Amino acid sequence: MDNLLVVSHSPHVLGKNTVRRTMLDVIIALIPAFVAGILVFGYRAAVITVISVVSCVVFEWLWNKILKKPASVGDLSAIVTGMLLAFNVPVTLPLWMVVIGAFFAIIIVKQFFGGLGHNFMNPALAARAFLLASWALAMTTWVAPHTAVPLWNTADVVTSATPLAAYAGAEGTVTQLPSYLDLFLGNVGGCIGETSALAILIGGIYLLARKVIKLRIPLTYLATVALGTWMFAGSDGLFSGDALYQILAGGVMLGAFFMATDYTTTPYTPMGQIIFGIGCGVITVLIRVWGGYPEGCSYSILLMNIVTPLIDRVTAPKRYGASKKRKEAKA
Amino acid sequence: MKEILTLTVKLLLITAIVAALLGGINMVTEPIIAENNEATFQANLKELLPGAESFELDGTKLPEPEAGVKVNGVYCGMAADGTPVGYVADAVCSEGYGGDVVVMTGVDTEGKITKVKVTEMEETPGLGAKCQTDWINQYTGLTENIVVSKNGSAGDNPNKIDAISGATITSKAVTKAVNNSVSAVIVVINDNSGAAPEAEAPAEGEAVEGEAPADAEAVEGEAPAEGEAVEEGSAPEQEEAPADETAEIDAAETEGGAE
Amino acid sequence: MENKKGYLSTFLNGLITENPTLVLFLGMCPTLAVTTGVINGVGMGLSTTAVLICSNIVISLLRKFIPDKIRIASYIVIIAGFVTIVQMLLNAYVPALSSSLGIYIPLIVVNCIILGRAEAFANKNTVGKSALDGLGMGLGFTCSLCIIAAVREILGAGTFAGIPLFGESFQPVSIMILPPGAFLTLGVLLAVINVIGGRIKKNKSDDTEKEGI
Repeated sequence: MDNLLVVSHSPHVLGKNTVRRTMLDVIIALIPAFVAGILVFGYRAAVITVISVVSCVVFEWLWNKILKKPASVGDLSAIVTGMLLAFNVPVTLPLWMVVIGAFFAIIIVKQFFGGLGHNFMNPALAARAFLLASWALAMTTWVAPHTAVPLWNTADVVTSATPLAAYAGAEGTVTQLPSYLDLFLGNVGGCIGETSALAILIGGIYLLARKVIKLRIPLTYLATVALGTWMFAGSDGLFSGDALYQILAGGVMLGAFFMATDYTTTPYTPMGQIIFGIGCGVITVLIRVWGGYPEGCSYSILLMNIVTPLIDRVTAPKRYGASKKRKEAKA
Repeated sequence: MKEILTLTVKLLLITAIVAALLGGINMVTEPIIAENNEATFQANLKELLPGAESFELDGTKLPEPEAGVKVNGVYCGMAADGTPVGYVADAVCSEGYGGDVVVMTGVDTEGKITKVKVTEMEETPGLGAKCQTDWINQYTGLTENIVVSKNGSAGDNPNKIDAISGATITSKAVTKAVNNSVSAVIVVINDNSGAAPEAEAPAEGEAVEGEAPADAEAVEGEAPAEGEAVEEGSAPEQEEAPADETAEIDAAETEGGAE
Repeated sequence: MENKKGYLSTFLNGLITENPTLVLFLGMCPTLAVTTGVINGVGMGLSTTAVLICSNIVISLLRKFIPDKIRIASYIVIIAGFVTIVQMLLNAYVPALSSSLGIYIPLIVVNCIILGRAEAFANKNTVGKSALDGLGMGLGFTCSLCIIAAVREILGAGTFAGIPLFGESFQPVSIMILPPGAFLTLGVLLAVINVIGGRIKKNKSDDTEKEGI
């Protein structure tokens, strides 16, 4: 937002908020999820994260260098994108696919459209969608927690269903659902950073305390998903769904706190943010209950990203006196 | 007025000439196209039923197919001396990812599939379009009520095929067409052999996905198996089917029953 | 000499300067849909070129005959006639290509390139130039189809014109074969062309400045 309301004369004291400071806070908030990922999935999770971050930084630096733009790597946003991208892929993903995902996220989604602040959708999620459409099998090779995964040639690992797939009763899944404690701590299969609700909550609370994010979007998103799944996701008719399970399983926790709150791609008005959160929740429930995929979180956020300019326009605060002037002009 | 007349006459002239030209070319190309189609069809029929020299459309009334699939016809394939070698069913399933999937299935006289071929489809290249590669060979040797297995979900059921990775919808559409084709052929076989199919007994479990069909001829798709492999004891009758031409097939799984 | 130059520049105009896909943005539907393979792209491009040349010639011949008020209707009839002829001939003599191009052959009728060139060029120019314009535009279309199809096929299926390029271990980027891949390829191609075109123009205008014009 470039237009700040100036309410007093200079001199002003420069506040401590910079892009770099905000990004640093997000990185710190992501560390618990990072640690959880390593604890649950092993050292390969760390390798993927490091490669993702390094690739993102290198691509951004290269772009700026080749097109002779000022270096923007210092604002740390590439590191955040790298971490989020890594947290959205399974631990078995071949490393070269991670690099290509980073390329797509930084060059095509972010830089092609004007760099930080101008991207129209979340780069990490868009890259995840790209990877999923490009290499569906590799992106859906889940392993049970604490399975040893080799660094190369991961295609032969023993796979296991994710909690959401198990809930949906997909073919070939175990009938035993993981317990709430397992889901909360992260002792389940899934993408690297999405399994541990506890770790994400710690990060989320840190971000709230540092005033980097507001509670509005995560709260409305999670509440809508809980309500919707309680109503429709049960196997005994309406109002029999296991809402707690649905919130703790899958990527909604990660999405709600870290990706649905990205400044550039979400509405800036309070009412707009609430609409955004509810919209994400509705789409997630639709995909999970009636759609073809077990998890709908990433698509829901991407779809709502696209609608955000519209939401902004509709919820823009009316200028004081503007509607009176319009009425007078018509008369 | 004169203007309208001029416009009309000129437009009429243009349209008439173009139409005449089209009519002419059509007259020339139509027989060629029909011949091409017929030749391809005959080639397909022969490919699916090796050993058969000539084919004849069977006039048996076919059972009502499921929604979304239609069996266009069952052709009886005969060897040079007129003995039936098997049958080929031509079916189309509209539940493919990109539209209709036209499948031709060759079935021998015992109700086992000889070969399947997808002749027309609009599936995604690299995904559903793989149904036209060697993947289709999985169907050879199977019989009715084939189950689509995803990542081993069908367990030990031998009458299964593995879905194309990332193209379950295509796999299911092809399987649906094949299943209906085989059922139609079995009806034709029964009809031709004069044996009245037994009425469907409601107590016997109809084969559903995930359960092995209690069909007496269920054989494994890969290893050549003899005898009957019956998995779950859900079907009370397990008669051995005589392996002669007038194979009587345990009609518990005949779809449509006696028409 | 003047006429010869006119002919050559007309041809090159369609091929490069006003390439229908990459500059005029006409014919987007077949460009995005049919470029899943190089063979399909070439087949589609050449069929369109054939129709384009024929319709340009005929419309140019009739340009004094067809009254202004019914010109669009007449053009459509003529173009549809040629497309149907092409479709029947393909069906009869090259059925494999015809079935893989499927519905996109009849869709040539509404390909804006053909109607656009009929309207913008053929009804105002001589038969010779119209034919060359048709050839140039058609080949320009075919070239851009080939470029996009090559990228999509190589990345998305690991083959070129059906010939596998990489070994067993190559994992193709499936998204390139799907519609999003078409948009991505076209977008990146246009970006590259714009950058290169911009640099060429900048160099040209720098040159003219230096010459003191």
